[in-house]
Amino acid sequence: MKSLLFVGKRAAVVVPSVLGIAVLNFTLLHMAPGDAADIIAAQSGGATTEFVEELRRSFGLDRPLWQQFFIYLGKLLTFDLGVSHVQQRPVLSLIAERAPATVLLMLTAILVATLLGMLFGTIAAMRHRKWLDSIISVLALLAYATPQFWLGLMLIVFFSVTLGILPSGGMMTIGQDISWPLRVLDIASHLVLPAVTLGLFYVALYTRLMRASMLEVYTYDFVTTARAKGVSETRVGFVHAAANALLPVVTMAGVQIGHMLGGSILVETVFGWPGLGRLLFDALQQRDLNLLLGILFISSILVVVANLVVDLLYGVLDPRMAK
Amino acid sequence: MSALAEFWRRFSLNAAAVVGLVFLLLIVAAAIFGPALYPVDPYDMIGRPSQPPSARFPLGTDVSGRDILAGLIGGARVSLLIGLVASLGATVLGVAVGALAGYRGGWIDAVLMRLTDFFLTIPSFVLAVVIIAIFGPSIVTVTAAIAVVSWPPVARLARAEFMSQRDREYVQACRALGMSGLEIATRQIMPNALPPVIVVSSLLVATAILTESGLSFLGLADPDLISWGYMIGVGRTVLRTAWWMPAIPGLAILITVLCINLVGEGLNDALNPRLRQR
Amino acid sequence: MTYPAARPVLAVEDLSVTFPTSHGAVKAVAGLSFTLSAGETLAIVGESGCGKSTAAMSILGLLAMRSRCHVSGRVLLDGRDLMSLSQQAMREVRGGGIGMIFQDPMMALNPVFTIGWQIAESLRLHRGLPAGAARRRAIELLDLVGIPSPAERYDQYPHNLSGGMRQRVMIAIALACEPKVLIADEPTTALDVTIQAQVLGLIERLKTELGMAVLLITHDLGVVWEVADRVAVMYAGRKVEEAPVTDLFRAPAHPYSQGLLRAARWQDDVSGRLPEIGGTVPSPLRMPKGCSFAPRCHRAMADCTLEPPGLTGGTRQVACHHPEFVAA
Repeated sequence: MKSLLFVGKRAAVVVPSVLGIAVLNFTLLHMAPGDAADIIAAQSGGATTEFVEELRRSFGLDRPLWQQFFIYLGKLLTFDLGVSHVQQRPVLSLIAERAPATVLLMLTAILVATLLGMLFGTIAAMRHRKWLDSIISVLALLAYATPQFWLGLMLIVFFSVTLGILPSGGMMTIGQDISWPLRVLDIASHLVLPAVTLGLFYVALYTRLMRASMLEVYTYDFVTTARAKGVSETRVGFVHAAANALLPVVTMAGVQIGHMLGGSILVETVFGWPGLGRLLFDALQQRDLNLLLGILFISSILVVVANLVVDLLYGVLDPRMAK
Repeated sequence: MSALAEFWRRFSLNAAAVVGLVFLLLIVAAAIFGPALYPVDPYDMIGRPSQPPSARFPLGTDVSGRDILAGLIGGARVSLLIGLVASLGATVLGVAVGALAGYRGGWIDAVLMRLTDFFLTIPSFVLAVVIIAIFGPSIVTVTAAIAVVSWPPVARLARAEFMSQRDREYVQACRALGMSGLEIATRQIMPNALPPVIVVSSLLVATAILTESGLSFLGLADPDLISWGYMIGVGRTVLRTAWWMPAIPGLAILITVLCINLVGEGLNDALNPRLRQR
Repeated sequence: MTYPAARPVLAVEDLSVTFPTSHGAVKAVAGLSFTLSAGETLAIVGESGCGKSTAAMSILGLLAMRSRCHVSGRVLLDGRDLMSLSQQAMREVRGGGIGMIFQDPMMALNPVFTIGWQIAESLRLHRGLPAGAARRRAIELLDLVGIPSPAERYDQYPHNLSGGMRQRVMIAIALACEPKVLIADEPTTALDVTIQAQVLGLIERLKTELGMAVLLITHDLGVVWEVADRVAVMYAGRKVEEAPVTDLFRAPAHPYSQGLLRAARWQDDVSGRLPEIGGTVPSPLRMPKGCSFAPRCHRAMADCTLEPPGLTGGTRQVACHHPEFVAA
């Protein structure tokens, strides 16, 4: 019951965020030159002024702004994101088609990055000021400064063009009718390069965070307690110190999800990964404003939900929070 | 003067930061004086397309036969300028919001921080893309869009600094002297709150350059200007046959961003000695 | 109070600890020697910074893990020199042969593990107990240190417990594998006065029950009087006096010990002004050539500034050129 209340409280925080996103979207929509009626009129090719006015009335665009906002909000709350006038399909179904690929890519990247970052950061801190620490720190510094999309291109050159061992794009081999275990393997092999490209920056980030966090934890008394009861240095590092040091890293991973979504757009563009990023790129090329705003809305919701999940996860990891 | 000497002494203790600073100054010099020293028009199609590096074209030519070295120098101007101005804008905006929230507190603080957290939550790159898509890509909209999505961390930091300074004795003394809130915030607290903000906004330059390159890569760049991200986008089309074409501008971004990060860490050592990383 | 004539469990011989600093080497502990027998409590007293905690940490070899330093001398546990042990063998001594508890029980317990887990870990590492047996033994230990409903407490976290309870848990961790020696570094300093007495009583009881030797590090002479058999006074890294507790309290020989006792007694005597020791502890970088206490000593004479005094032998040891066995 208590934990249910806790979840409920956290979930309630989502409401103002969603409202905020709605306001932002509405503002952007109205700052754009030309409204939906103009766009449709332009596409149908030389419509009369009467026709455009008629369209405007049917969309409710002639009403006062605040009324329009509540109509818009009502639509958003029922997940009615309008229609893509370019693709002639509801925005929501376009997004729903693409979201799983992005979620798969991001989940893979963030899981691998968090685990590797924690591992490398822990090792670097345990070998503080030794050569292994220096190597890890320098590599992290380099990876931290590398543009992701460029890294993707270079990985394609090396692994796909030169070595020819990994596919350079897409999510699966097209035109093959294969059993599901092979299909999983096929997708996995397509996933390797995009996930590495997207994840490497975060490996670097979490390595740096984890290292700093570990060095901080190493000064705490309970580390001395562990040593005084005969725990080996390896165990002190990986168990006693790491369990405390990973808390700020998990917090950071939550904050970074929105940032990662931006990286995902670029990486998907590089690898032709059929996700939201790719959809956004296409919407850009076709000046499909409804679709663009729909993606902004849904991806913001995704981030808010992901933050909520991390919040709840934090409660599990830190016993002091679970009250 | 001795404060400056002390600053430099602390900064120079960090060898990596000094190396970063030297290379960064070289890059800035190349951006400023490069076009004079290497007077080749980066927009001019002056040779056969897609040539590898040679004596005539030190870094080769791109798909349209434009000189890549000249593009790199021209791109440095655009990338550095956008990076600098965007992070300056984000800093001004962030400090204004953070100072107001931290100094006034109460409901103003609550509202502003909600707003800041909100902007931290929404995917900043997606927002930048939408903003530029709506207003059309130009150097002004790109810079503004990057600034608009970069200010929240500055605001949070500035708020924390202003909150910690607001009740100090010297501020109370100023109030007793009848100074206005604006005067106290800008003249008295600002100089004390600024050092950590400077560190964060120096690192923002690096992030802004990375963001700009990503936007240009997606085609959201000023169509009249060459930037590093744009060059990578152009080189991408011949990735399989001429990998160096996208590789070169990418390296330029990597080195610049690396140098800025190193300098940022040095600034941190020099300005926030207590926060020094172990 | 009698002193077991048996061979000492713990013997520290000529222990020195040096920290390299940018301004030169700092000797935190200089030539410290003492012995400790089973069933006995030796208290090391001194002001903060006198090197008593540094000495305690270096006995278990914990110092070099936290900071760069040089440790020399011998630490004999049952005649075995700990300084020459391998890392592996030393780990068996820590928590196995010697247990240690610390000043602040909030900071000394790991906040993200249950207290039961933290006790059981010792048992699993040293005794190789399987999980179930370690749990049962840990619950017994919680009971032993006087924690009510130990089975329920096992699964709680440090933040669920009060300060006194946490220190009891620390004692349970230190004693899990029945060590021969317990080092208690300011075990009651962070606790309320009423809790202090309970924790001291517990240590005293367990010492008798388990036949341990206890090395008590403290700055509190009241605590020393309560529980210690013998007391060693440290000043600026050196032992300046060692004596049975009753002897030292009746008639301290070293002028520094006299000053400490006077300062402690003043607390009972509200009328008087604070009989503090004039001057300050010399900087570890500029130690006087002679007796390190000479600059503050009212008895100091010319010879005191020439060379440091050596310790006299026997059960009453004092390092002073002009000792004076007076009632303070």
